[in-house]
Formats: sequence, structure tokens, C-alpha cells
Amino acid sequence: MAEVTHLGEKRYKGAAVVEEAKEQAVFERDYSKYDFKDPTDRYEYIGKPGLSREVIEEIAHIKGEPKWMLEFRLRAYEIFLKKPMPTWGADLSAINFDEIIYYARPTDREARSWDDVPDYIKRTFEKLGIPEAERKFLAGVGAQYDSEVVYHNVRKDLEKKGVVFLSMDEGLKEFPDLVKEYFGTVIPPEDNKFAALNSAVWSGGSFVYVPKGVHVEIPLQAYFRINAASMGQFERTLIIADEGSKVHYIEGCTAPVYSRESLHSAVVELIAKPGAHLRYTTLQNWSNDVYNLVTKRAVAYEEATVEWVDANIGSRVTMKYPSVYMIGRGAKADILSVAFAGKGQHQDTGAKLIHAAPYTTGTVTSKSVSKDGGRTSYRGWLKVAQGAHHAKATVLCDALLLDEHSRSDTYPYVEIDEDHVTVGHEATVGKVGEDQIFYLQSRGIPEAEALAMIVLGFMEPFTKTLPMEYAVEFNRLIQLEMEGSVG
Amino acid sequence: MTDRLEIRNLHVRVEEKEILKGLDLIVQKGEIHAIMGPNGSGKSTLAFALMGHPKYEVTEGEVLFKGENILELEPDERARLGLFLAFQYPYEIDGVPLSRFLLQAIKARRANGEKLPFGEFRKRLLENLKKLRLDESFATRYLNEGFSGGEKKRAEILQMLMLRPEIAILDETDSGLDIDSVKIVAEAVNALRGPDFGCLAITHYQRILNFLKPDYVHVMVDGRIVKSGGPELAHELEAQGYEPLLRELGIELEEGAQRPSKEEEKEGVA
Amino acid sequence: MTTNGTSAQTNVELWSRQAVETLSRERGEPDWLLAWRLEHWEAAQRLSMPGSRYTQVRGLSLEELTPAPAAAIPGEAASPPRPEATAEEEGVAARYALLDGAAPRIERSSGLQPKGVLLLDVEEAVREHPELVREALAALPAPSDRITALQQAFFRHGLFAVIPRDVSLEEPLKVVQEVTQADRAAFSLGVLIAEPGSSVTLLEELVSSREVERAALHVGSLYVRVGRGAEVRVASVENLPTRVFHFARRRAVVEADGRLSWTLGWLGGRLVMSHVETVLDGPGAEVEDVQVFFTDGRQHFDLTSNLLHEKPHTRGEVNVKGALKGKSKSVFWGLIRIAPGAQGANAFQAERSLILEDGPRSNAIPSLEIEANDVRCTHAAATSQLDEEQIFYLRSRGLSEDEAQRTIVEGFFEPTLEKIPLESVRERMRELLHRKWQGTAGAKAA
Repeated sequence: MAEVTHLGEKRYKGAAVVEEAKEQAVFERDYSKYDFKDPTDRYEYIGKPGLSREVIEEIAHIKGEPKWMLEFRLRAYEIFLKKPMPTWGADLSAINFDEIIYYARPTDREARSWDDVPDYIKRTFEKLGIPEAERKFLAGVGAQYDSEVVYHNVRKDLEKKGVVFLSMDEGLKEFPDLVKEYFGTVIPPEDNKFAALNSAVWSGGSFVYVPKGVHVEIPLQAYFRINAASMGQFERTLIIADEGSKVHYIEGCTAPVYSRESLHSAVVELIAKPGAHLRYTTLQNWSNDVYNLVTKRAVAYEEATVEWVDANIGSRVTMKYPSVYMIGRGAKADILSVAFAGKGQHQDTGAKLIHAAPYTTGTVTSKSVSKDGGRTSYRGWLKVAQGAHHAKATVLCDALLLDEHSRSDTYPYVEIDEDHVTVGHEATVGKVGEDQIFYLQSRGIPEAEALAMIVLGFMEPFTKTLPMEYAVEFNRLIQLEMEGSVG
Repeated sequence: MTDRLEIRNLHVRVEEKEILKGLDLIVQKGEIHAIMGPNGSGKSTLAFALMGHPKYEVTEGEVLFKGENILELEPDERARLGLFLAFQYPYEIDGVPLSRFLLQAIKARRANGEKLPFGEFRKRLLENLKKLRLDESFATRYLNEGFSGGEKKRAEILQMLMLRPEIAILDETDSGLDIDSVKIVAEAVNALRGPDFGCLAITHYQRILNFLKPDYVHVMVDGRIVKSGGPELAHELEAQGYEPLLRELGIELEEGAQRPSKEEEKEGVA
Repeated sequence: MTTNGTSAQTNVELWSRQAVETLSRERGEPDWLLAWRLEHWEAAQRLSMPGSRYTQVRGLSLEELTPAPAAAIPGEAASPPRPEATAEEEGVAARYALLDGAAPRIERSSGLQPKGVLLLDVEEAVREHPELVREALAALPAPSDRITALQQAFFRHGLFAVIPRDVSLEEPLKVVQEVTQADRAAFSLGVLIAEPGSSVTLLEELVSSREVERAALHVGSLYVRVGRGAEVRVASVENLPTRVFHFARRRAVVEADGRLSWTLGWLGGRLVMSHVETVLDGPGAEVEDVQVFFTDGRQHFDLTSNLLHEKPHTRGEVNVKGALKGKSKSVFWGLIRIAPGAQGANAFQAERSLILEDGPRSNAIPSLEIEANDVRCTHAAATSQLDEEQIFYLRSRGLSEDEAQRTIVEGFFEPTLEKIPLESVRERMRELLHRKWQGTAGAKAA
């Protein structure tokens, strides 16, 4: 099994018994509390549903943005109107762009200390364990509540080294030249309808810059919360890891349950300069009425490594295919994607590897579990462009179907335009073996627990890339999803 | 009385074929029983049926353990009652480290809130690994994934030592092991020996019994126990094979059933 | 531009609605068949040429082609060359031959008659067993591209065979189709019905006695029904001239406990687009699909194999292997679909290409759509190059570079060739692969 490089974690150095001890020590959270909502009457601004030029101008006006950004937004809006909805993938017919609220501003400022965050919002993030996590094991935290980032902080020692971790809005204010240079270069608005929509109405997200040679050994985290009903969250993240630097960025997402659809449509652009090591981890647990349509793409220069670690547990529909353009010789991409689709969910996820330089290496590992009629689809694109000789790519897809009503699809496209290339794709679909369950049961573990254990083991390649606390949280989420799966 | 495993007139079918045809056996705590028998006599079926594998259908008879008819129970309930099965061919569970699995299995046993202090779990795990001549890192490996045949068998015994059952069924745990490993396994079982532990060792060969020293030996043929006796019975079988006994009992078997199959022979000396 | 002495204007007429009506009337076809042809003619007007981002049909202009006529054109060979050996001497139950989509000839061995096997050209079958033909045509899926639609509108010939219940044909049926004329569009539509409990082998050959100087089109389709418990083997070797565009559609419906094997060898042609679809339509139905290809020059092969598991406890296995040289291209599309409720299905699909030198391109899109959980489905696709180390090793044992490469390529194909159930086809494939190797090796030397 391929060894995954850990960013400053010492988790696997000792025997597993040590790991168990840590797991035991980790705080237990009440997960039913994801589903709570705050009233919106205290918001500073809440937009009316629907999208128009005026709405976009209003957003830009409230934010006090430079002119080029408003022009960028308006250009993107025109593209959004022209682009058709995707005709493949998940069913998006329930999305009504006129009923979505595109901008809601819960507070007028971004706090640097939790004390300055409005109480009701602070309580939300406390329930989700964010301040506690920050104290314990994070290098920096950003917290976004509907459209705006309400809290942002990075450890002082990292700040001194020049590490920038701001909301995208603050980033635009403080580093206008850097933002202007890179913003929208990895994912232009023309890319797809939802990238255009995000470009038109984006708000919040993170701006990260890690200077040359700086290693951020513990993760930076952003937490995204949708609170208002029919809300559209359109955060925009840009991460630049300069030469030889190293950083691990983690995002988590939750929302309360409404009976109306919400839309989350983010754009995430990553730039890994020569020799940089950039890992981006997502733990997506939106409520089951969120349409999660996200464009994520990275550019990896010479000898740079980009890792997308992407878990999709929540949302009604997710369409997300993190990609890495390996444009420098020897660049590496590692995409690890796990998806869990329960009742009424369609996780249409995948990965794109674009080998555009010689000696580039790409790996995709996809693990999906479908249950109670849920559907998971893997959609992949593996491209070896002309000139990318000696590229190596491996794609592995495994799917587990937990019952007869569920569905799993695999659509891996492979396109090779170069000689001396080694490419392999493998996929397997199956169910949990009756004998495996019996074996675990024979040790005293009840059937439902045994099933959950096997599912967690199936997803272990993902879990083991996570810092301990996230691994525990992820396992708990899966266990929750698995509850009641044995009649 | 209540601390024994009592099998009465057990009939078991696998995929429409009757394998056990009225088996009676009592295993008292504190005793070690060995079941020997030719291929296809139903030894493994007995093990799976006692543990409650869904493919093994009990059509008649009962199995009492601690006074309860365990045939009504789920496999995990049987395990929590104190029954253990060391599998002949343990299954591989990818991504589940052995130590995490053991912890969860122990927790499941202590459902009534009784806690196992983590330090104690760790201490016991390290002790038992040592006992089985297994490296500490063995516990971090995924359950049976990529284990060699011998490692799988030792992992089974490790689980037995950690879970401390009252009655353990060893289904050909000795097959496929070299003589040193057989010794290690037998020593581990012997370590549990005492008034609180009973064992039913199913085997094809005499050699493990040299170390295990059973109190009783039973011969199983065609789904029934046909003869029971003391340790001397095992020696007799070793020396003469099954033929004289079968002749004496007037039982005829299909050609080739008396002798271990070629693969098994190979496995036996591996 | 004029071709073959016929103006483009006339050619347009040859593809017109009237042409379809004339064809049908001349053959005295029933109304339903004319309606069926016209329906497909209409479809052809709105459908586009087959293709994808990986494959485009280039260098083929339908307007410049002449559909195969009712009979051979004067001056051309009147009928397929008659082999020297009789069907009986060749060890086949029957032979069916077509020349450029026309002039069918059937030879039956004497043993065939008493078994009640129905063996006709489809034109005759329409006259004598219209209800059977109608049923078979109704089972064909609606065409999704212009070529298939035109084939269904303009087809004239093809083998129509019905193997009665519980009849086992020891000797194979053999179909030989030759393509010898440039600027010709040759169509064939074959039907093979194996009634419950029967057993039959169909050998197909697509060949030519000579090089074709300009583009030609050959479109062949075959519909197979494997009745309950029946066993059908279809083996085909395609070795068409290098300017021929070949489109093949094969579809089979396998009923409960039926077994089907496809063995397809692809060697010739400019562009080959093959579509194989097997519907496993009853519990216990099984299919094995073995395909081998070898491309060179500017050949482009686009091969599809779809396994549709409609019922529980069905089994499918697909093995595709190919070697590529020159500037050739291959595309493999695989699909395993398990319908809801088809529990206990077992499906395997593997595609491997070996790139023998700089230049060729190979793509694979093996998809899965799984809607039942008690299943085992695996697919794999891989592209690799000749291993320099292996070549070096063999050369160190005294083999020339060419011999070393050939040895490796043979080793690459061998496990797949071994899966071919018919000894004769296996040998023929070995021979053709070998010859193709020599051909390219020779061309390189020249």
C-alpha cells in the first residue's frame, strides 16, 4: 500500500495501540447538533432571492471592491447566462436560480478573536467545536457563516514568517496585486456554468499565501456554515504555495436541514509553485437539501505535489471533480476521494489528472459507498498531453453497495497523446461479504457495528491521511450514517 | 451444570445437504476436548453451526450454553456469552487495524458500561503478542490482510487470548503450521487452561494433541460422534488410521475420505 | 468529382427515399418491411455519423459511394469466388458467401437437411418466413448513428439461420464476406436464432482477395438469440483491405442458462468501429467476449463491448487485448450494466494495449453502472509499452531485436488467445497476428 506523506503528523510512528489511546482521549461531540439554525433577523444584510446585474453591483458596492473585480463579476454573469446547465451527471432540475438568496451578511466585520464574533454566531461555532479545535491543533482558522467570513486568525509565529491566511475579501484588500495576478487564472469563469456563477457573486472563502521555503506543519482550517434557508454560498478560495513551501488546508462544511434547496457553489484555485507541497482536505457534510456544485482545480509546477483529499458525506447532490494540471516536469498529483450516498443522495464525484509535462505522476483512489437507494458516480478524466512523456497514472475505484436499491457508476475517460506513458485503471464494485460480517460477529461485535467497521475499513485509505481529530470525526459521521442500516 | 456447552442431537444442513446427523457432545469448563475425523465428516460444519453462520441451517436438536439455547442467538450474542471460534480460514477485513478491532470487540463485550482502562488493554495486548512471538507492529496491520497462513492462525489465537472466552472452538488451528508454530499455539491455549476455560479442538492430526493434551478425544464420522475416549484414542488413530475403527463400527466411507487430501497433506507439512 | 464513372448527382439518387422504395418493391417485400426501411431512412437523415471525441469518421463521403446493387455489376466478378473444397470437405455444416454485399451464395452440407436447420439468405427468409424476420428486426435497437440507420434502410443480404430446439450442429456455419470494390457501400444483416437447448458455432470472415484502391464501406450487423440452455459460439476474423471503413454491430440476447461466446479478431481496415452488446436476459445466462486486435499504419479501431445484466445470476467476461504500431489508434469502450434486481451477477472486463513503438495512441473508457448490490464487478484497463529490459534480456540470449519483440508480443496475446474456445480460430488468429507482425516488420525494412 502506498505510503501517504503526512504533514507534520507523527501519528503512525508508534504502534497502533498509541493511536487507540489518542482516539479514546478525543472529545466526543454531539452530532445531532449539526441541525440547528439561528434566526436571521440579526443579520446586517440579507439579499432578496434572485440574480441580476443589480444584485451583483450591490454585492460589490457593500464590499467596496476595486473596479476590476466588479468588471470581472459582471463579465462572469454574462457567461453564466449563456452557459447551458450540464446535461450529464446528476439531476439539477430542482435548482431554481430565482429562489436563491445570493448574498447575506451576518455581521459587518471579520473578527480576529472569538470574543469579537457576535454571540449567536460564536455559539454556533462553539457547538461545532471550532474554537476548541483551534486551540488544540490548528495553525489557523477561518469561519464562514453564509456569505461572509466572520472570524479569521492565524498563529502569530506563522504570521511572522509571512504566512497569509485571510478571507478572500480581506485578501483582496490587503494584497490586491497578488490577488489580481492569480484570481481566476486557474478556473476562468468560462470553465462551466457554476464557475461563472461563483465568479459573479463570490463572497468569502480563503486567501492563503505561503512564502518560499516555509513549512506550515499543522493544518490551516476553514469552516463553512450555511445558516439561512434558500441560501447560496459562493465562497472563493485561492491558495498559493510558493517554491519549496508546504501547507495543509482543511475545510469542513455543515448546514441545518430546511425543506428548501440551498446551493453551495464554490471555486477553489490552488497554485503549487516548484517543489511546493500542497494538500487540500475537504470534509463535506452538508445537510441533505444542499446542491453542492463545486469547481476545484490545481496547477502543479516542477516537482510540486498537490493532494486533493475529498470526502463527500452530505448534500443532496454533489458534482465535484477536483483536478490537477501537472504543468512542470516531475510534478505529482494525488487525489483521494471518498463518497457516501444515502437515501435521496447522489454523489457524482471524481477526479481529473492532466499530465502536461514529462515525468509527471498521478494517482487517483476513489472509494464510494451507496446505501438506502443512494447513488455514487465516479467520473474521471485522465489526460496525457503531447510532450508529457514518461507520465505515469493509476486510477483505482472501489465501490461498495450496501443494499439492492443503491447504485454505483464508474465513467473513467482516458486520453493519451504521448508515447512512453504508463496508465492503468481498475474498478471494482461489490457488496460486503456475509462471511466478513459473520467473522466480526463471532468476536461479539453486533451486526450493525460490524458493517460500520467494514465500511470504515474500506475508507481507511482516506481516514489515515487526516489528522487524528478529523479521523475520529469522520468515523463518527460514517457510523451515524450507518445507523439503522441493519433491519 | 450451567457452565457447560451441551450439544444435543444436532442436525445441520448446508445448501440442502445434511452434514450433521444427530451429534451429541458435552464440553465442561475446565476440560479440553479434541474432535478428530476423516475429511468430510462435518467437523468444520460443527464449528460454524455452533457459532451461528447464516449458511448453516440447524434442522433439529439444541445447543445449550450456560443453560440458554444459543441456537436462538445471533453470532455476536453467542460470542458475548463466552463462546469463541478460531477460524480455519480467517477472513480479511481491509482497513481495520487489528488493535482497533480488538478494542471494539472487547468494548462490545462490556456493553453494560464496564470500562477497560486503556493502559490495561495495551498491557495485555503487548503480553499476548509476546506470548505468540509476534512483533508489536503486528497489531497495527489490517485484520488478516496479507497475513501469511501462520500469521492468520496466530492472530486467531491472539484474539482468543484477548477476548478470554469460556469455551473456545479451534477449527483446525494447527493445519498449515510448522511444528514450532503448533507449539506456540498450543502453549497459548494451555495458558488459559483452568477451571474457567473449556476448549473444543477440531483437528486432523495428532501432533497438536501432543502439546494440547486433551482430556477427551472424540471421533467424528459422517456427521456424528462415533467413538469417544481418552488421549489414548488419538494415539491409536495416529498409529492405525481410521480404517480399523471404521471397520469395527461397520461404517463405509467413500474412497479417499479416510486419508487427508493431497492439499491438506501438503498444508500439514508446510 | 466523379467516381467509378458515376456522377455524384446519380449517387445522391442512389441514397434517396425512392431508392429505398424501389429496392423494396423490386424484391416484392411486405409493407411492414418497406415501412421499417423508410423509418430508418428517415432516421438516417437526422442522425449524425458515428463517432466521439476519440473517433471521427474522416475520408469517407457517403455521396461518393454506391450502395451494393441487387446483383453484381457487369464486369465485376459475378459471385464470390468458389472455394476449391466443398463445404463438406472443409468440415463446415454450411457456407454462406457475399461479394461486396451482393450475390449471396449458400452451400449446405448433406447432413444439414435432416436436422431441420433453417439456413437462408435474408431476402429469401423475408419471402418464406416473414414472421421470423419481422420478430428479429423488431429486436434490433433503434440506430443511434447515420451509418447503422442507412444499413437498416438499404440492406439486401445476410445469413438468416434458425437452429431448432435441441439440435446440436457439430460443424460450424461459415460466413465469408469479401470486399473488393472501391467506392462501394456493402451492407449485410445477419440473424442467428438458436432455439432452446440447441448448439451452434458461427465462423465469420471478412476478407478480400485484393487491395481496394479507394475508400469502401462495409457495414455488417448480426443479431443473435440464444434460447434457454442453448450454446452459441461466434468467431469472427476481420482482415479487410486497408482502405475499407468497417462498421460492425453485434447484439445478442441470451436467455436463461444460455451460453454465448464472442471471439473477434481485428486486423484490417482503415477505420473499424465495432459495437458488441450482450443482453443477459435470464438467470444463469453467460457470455464470454474475447477480442484481439493488432493495428499499424494509420489504422483506427474503435471497439465497444457492453454487458447488460438484466437478470440475476448472470455471468459476463470480457477480455480485450491489442498491440499497436505505426501511427495507429485504438479506443475501447466497455460498459458493465447491472439492472436493478439482477443479484448474483458476476462481471469482469479487462482491456490491455501494448504500444510497440513511438506513435500509436490507445484510449480506454471502461464504465460501470451497477444497480444491484450482491454482485461482483471488476474492470481494468491498462496501456503499456514494450519493456526495454525484457527485450534486452531476450537479446542477451541471442534473439534479434525483432525476434525479441515478437516473442514478447506473442506472450502478451497468448493468455487471451487461449481463451478462444475454437482450436481452428485460435490457430488462424495466431497465424494472422504473426503475418501482421511480419508485414509490418517487412514494411519497416523496405
